[in-house]
Amino acid sequence: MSDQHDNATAAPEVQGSAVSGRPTLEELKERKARSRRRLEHTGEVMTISMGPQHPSMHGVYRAELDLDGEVIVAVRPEIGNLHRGVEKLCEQRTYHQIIPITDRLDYLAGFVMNHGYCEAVEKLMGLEVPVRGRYIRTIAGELCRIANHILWLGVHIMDLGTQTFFCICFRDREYVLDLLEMLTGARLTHSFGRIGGVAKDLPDGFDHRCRKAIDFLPQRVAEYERIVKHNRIYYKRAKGVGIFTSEDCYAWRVTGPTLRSAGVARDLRKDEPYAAYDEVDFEVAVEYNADVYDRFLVRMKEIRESCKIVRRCLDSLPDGPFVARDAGRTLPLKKNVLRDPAAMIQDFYQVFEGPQVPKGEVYRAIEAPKGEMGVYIRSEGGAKPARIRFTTPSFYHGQAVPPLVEGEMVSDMVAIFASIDVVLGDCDR
Amino acid sequence: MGLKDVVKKGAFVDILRGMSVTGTYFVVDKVTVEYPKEKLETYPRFRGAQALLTDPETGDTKCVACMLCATVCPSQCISIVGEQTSEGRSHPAVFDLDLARCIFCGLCEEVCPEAAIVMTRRYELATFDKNDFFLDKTALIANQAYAHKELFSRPAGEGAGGAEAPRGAAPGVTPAPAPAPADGER
Amino acid sequence: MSDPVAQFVFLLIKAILMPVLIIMMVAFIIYFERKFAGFFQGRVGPTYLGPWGSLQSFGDIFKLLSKEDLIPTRADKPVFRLAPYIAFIPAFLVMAVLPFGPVSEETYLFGYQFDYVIANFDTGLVLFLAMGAIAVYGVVLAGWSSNNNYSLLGGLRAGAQMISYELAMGFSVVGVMVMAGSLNLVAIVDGQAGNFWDWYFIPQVVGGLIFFIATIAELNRTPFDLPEAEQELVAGHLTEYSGMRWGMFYFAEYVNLVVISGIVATLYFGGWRAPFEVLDFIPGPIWLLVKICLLVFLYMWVRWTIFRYRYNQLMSIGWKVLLPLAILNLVVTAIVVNVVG
Repeated sequence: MSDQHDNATAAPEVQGSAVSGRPTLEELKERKARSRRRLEHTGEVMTISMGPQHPSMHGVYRAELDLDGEVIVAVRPEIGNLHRGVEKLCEQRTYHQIIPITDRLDYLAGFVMNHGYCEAVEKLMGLEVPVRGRYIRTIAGELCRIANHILWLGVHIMDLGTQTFFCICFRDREYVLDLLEMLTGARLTHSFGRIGGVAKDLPDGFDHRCRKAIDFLPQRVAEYERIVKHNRIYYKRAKGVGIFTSEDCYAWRVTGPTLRSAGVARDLRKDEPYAAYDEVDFEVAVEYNADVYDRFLVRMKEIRESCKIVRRCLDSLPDGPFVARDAGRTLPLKKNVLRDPAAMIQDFYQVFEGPQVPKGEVYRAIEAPKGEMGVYIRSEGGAKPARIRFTTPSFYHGQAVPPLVEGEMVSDMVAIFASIDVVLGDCDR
Repeated sequence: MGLKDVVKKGAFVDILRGMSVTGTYFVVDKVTVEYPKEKLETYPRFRGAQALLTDPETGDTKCVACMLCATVCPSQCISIVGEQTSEGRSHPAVFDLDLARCIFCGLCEEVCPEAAIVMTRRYELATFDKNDFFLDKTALIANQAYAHKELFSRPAGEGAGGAEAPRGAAPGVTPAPAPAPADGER
Repeated sequence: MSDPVAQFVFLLIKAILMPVLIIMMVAFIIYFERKFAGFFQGRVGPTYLGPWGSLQSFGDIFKLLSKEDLIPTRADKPVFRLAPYIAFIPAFLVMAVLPFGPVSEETYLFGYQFDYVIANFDTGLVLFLAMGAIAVYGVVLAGWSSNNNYSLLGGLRAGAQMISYELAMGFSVVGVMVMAGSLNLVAIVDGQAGNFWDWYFIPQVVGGLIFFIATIAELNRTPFDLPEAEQELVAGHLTEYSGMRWGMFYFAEYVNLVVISGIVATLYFGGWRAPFEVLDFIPGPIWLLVKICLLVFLYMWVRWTIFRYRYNQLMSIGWKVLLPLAILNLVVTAIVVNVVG
């Protein structure tokens, strides 16, 4: 991970779980060792290929499992079935044209990918985003986070056996997707971020509808918790299953809710604030048992915190431009293009010549719903980047499946794989 | 585990709680929108298939073949061949848009300096013939019927924000004969 | 007509009519399963085919019949073909001993003495348990003959699960047998004469609950549907079955559901008896039908709410929780019955 990791908190030095309720690293390792079965198999090993077409593998992820009875002895993951050459495509397009392509990385949280990319480009250019633009980015980003986590919950519980929850979660997700369609024009492929801000301002009536939705959503989360949190079956399937300590997370570059469920309070929205996150007060969701149950708790808390963030942003939304006005580097406002010759010239320049980006390289990471999403750009000064690299969270989480799953049983594999939230668009790019 | 927990476990309290939730869903209104009998109305910013707007006075498209949309398109799905009309203005002789390549990002609408190409609310694009995806100039002009009605209700020069279309309203809007320049929210 | 001929004619009618009725009922139960699944999930289920989508099952049957019959090359073909029938037929045999109305010398139909049961079998309960065991063969043979790792895993899991829960089932119904003093289902229903507080579900509440849970496992329904766990094993023992062969298994599952609901109603809820004696004028079959429908609804409600146990947890529940409780139930019942008389 990057060197900014030095100031992240390591697993807290707390007293043993009997006293403080939080397990130490040693205790977690012990629990993990106990829950894993013997890996030296005695009988014949049966090889099963789970995927790439499989109702539970989120996308076309293939895992070749060696099974001894019910116990998984070895896992050989295989990714790349959804590889579309996104990074190469980006090399052939100007910085403005890349934005719709970033939507398709983690297609469940399209705006967040736009946002990460725009942050990196703005850092390279040294461009400052106006305050209102930053607030709108925060609002859209948090709505994407809520949508992502609700979908995660539906898929996770569906993997455990009931389709009912899936339908319920998707029904609630419709409220958020409705808002996003109202704001951006599309439900999943938002293409809403622009270099220097966002594409459009908040429409009329958005404030009212958004507040209605985010007042309603925490009640839904409470209902999910009511059904799932104390359910004996969920307890048995999630508590103590899939323990991945903070040490393991650091070793395998696993970030996001999985890392936070292991007791590490690392959230880039707090550690390296961007957009309006330093102006809005919110808590970071942290749990300490590092199992599937805690990842569920972390994500539910994150949904609630996201609702709070959106409400606070709407309450204190400043006036002003929503996109930076910089003739050489941003796209002009359309209403100006229709009347003002200077804006029209800017329009032509930005489309045909591209924005002025200095030579250099930059890396910027943001907190995507699944983990840390980083964008590395190397520019030779032209309209198109020389090299873009997206370090997406699912890529690393997909690689972390063998240490997570070896020694567990097949049914647990499904639950654990769902809990680390791998999406193949994110993983394969 | 205390006695209370044993009793709760024995009486399946948590399971009954879950069943009460599904039982409630059994009797309340269902959220299904029975497409194709019922359809949802799209929002004003919805990015459906494209349309070329025509100028009501000349009857010709407002497009001046400046090639901005063709250049900005990330999938290179627009191809334009421009020509000079007899009145001396520039207009496209050929304007082809390949819907099968289009990713519906809306950049073409955003950069157009004449507000000639717009994204409409038409999303029912499925067809049995692949050639229907290749929209030529006539088809694009015909798509005007699906343009968002808000385009024609806002005067030019207004600030940010477009009117909110209520969800579930029946479609069937014909554009006004004299459209104001499309003031997108940019 | 003399009496033996009349009895023979009645037997023929009953034997033909019952399976036909059950099959028709199953077609509609499949439709209701999908409709209720939708309702529990906040959506409307099938609506297209027929009024409120009620002909959906028939559409499904036509579709399945028109599919290509695929049998894997290296599958064991005779066993592959036989397995759906082994799963399907035992349920019908159980139906033969289920009383759907009064069985006594005083009931007459069209002037001839008529028994509302196909076979007044003295060990009907044992037949039920035995048929449940044979149905396991269908599942295991399907899994084994498919020549597929997934199917094998699924079939073996299913077999192990069904066998372990049959023990709990068996012990819990012995409690009912002790209370009724007979294995004959007719006698068990007669032992519940009176109003609904005389039915066996009140004294046998623990046994009834155990039986209910064990039958969910026997039917391979959630929360015990690991053998068909889509997310884990694609379709378990049914992976290689397509078209109408799969349809047979699917159908068999619902026939089993109906029959087992009938058994639960008979053993614990008074069978064809009315809840209040004043309502006796409504014929027995109607009451049995009502009870079966309510129980089927309950099974569906449980299925669409609860999620799946992991396999070892499922087995440990069967052996370590349900079986000891069932034995305890039996012991307590025996003591009480002997003491109270």
